[in-house]
Amino acid sequence: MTDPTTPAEPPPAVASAAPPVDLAWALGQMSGLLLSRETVDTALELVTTLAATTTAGTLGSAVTVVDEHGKRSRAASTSAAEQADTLQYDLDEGPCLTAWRTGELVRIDDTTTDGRWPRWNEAAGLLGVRSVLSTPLLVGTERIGAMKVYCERPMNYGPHDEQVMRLLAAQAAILLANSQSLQEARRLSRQLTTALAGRDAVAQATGVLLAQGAATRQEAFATLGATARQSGRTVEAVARALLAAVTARNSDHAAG
Amino acid sequence: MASDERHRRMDAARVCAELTVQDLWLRYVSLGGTGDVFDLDGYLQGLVSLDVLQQDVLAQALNEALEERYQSYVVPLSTPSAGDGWDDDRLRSLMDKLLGGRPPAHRPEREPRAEEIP
Repeated sequence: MTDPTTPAEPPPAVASAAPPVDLAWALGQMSGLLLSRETVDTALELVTTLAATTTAGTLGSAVTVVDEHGKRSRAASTSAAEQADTLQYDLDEGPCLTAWRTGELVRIDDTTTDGRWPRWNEAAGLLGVRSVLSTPLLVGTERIGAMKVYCERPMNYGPHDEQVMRLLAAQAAILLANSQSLQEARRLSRQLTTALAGRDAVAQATGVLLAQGAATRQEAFATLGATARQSGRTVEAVARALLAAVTARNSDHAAG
Repeated sequence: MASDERHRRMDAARVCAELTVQDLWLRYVSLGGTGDVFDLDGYLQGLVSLDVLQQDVLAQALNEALEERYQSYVVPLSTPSAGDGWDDDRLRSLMDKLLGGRPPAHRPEREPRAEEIP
């Protein structure tokens, strides 16, 4: 159900300056690493729903993700769970942030008597949250967030629930690690698209030099390299300048 | 022996330019290199050979990376330099030379270039 090797569907087109070929997807297919964003979200929701139903009495469940973009919740099973999470981010305290910071499982038996996060406990109590179980999400040794269940009854969670949450958190961490590799592949895709544009220019300029009488591709490339050295430019810049010069001459010729 | 040395120098240059093999490969591809990352890695470690053109493309990629690295450390003088116009002229005259035209015309715009083209 949460098998990370589930075949990925093509992701939607990349929002910014979409490259004509989605290399990210192709690369992902090759390395067998990726799930589409949609697949990750769906599978994450499955995990949180599973957490909510397998731990008896749970009001709601969600995943907290912490990265360079900040702290946010994903796959909240109820809006109450999302609100309780938001309170943690706003107050910068709470069981999930502690679970994330320490890498240790956190259990609150009763928010009305627990003194560890006074401000959050009080606010969460008003939302109807009385007991909490929060497990850190670990990818290798890196802590990427936490997964939690909230309950309206005090003293709701015991060792069995802790065990269930540890197992499910491991699945959620795998899924989130997957969406991180998707971002990595998109970055590589952008770099490759840029590299291919440069390569086009160099290949065309090589063709121009061959037409001008260069004996081999190697000689043509050496000429581009020598010109780059003499002008203090890169080979790609020289190639573009050469193509621009050819185009200018041809249009002069056509005009004259 | 010379070619045996070359891969070592290239790998040393790669380290000096602070490039991973992946970074270097991207630069090499953008200059028209046709080998994959494994070819490159193997060559740098002396395990596989690359043909001369591919070696040259790789050398150029490394030299450009080294130059960028070096330029990032260059300290500008307090007096501003002549500017870029001269550079553009030089590039234009080099292009003329490559295209079989005559070198540095001082009035490049008025040169009746059309007749030079068959």
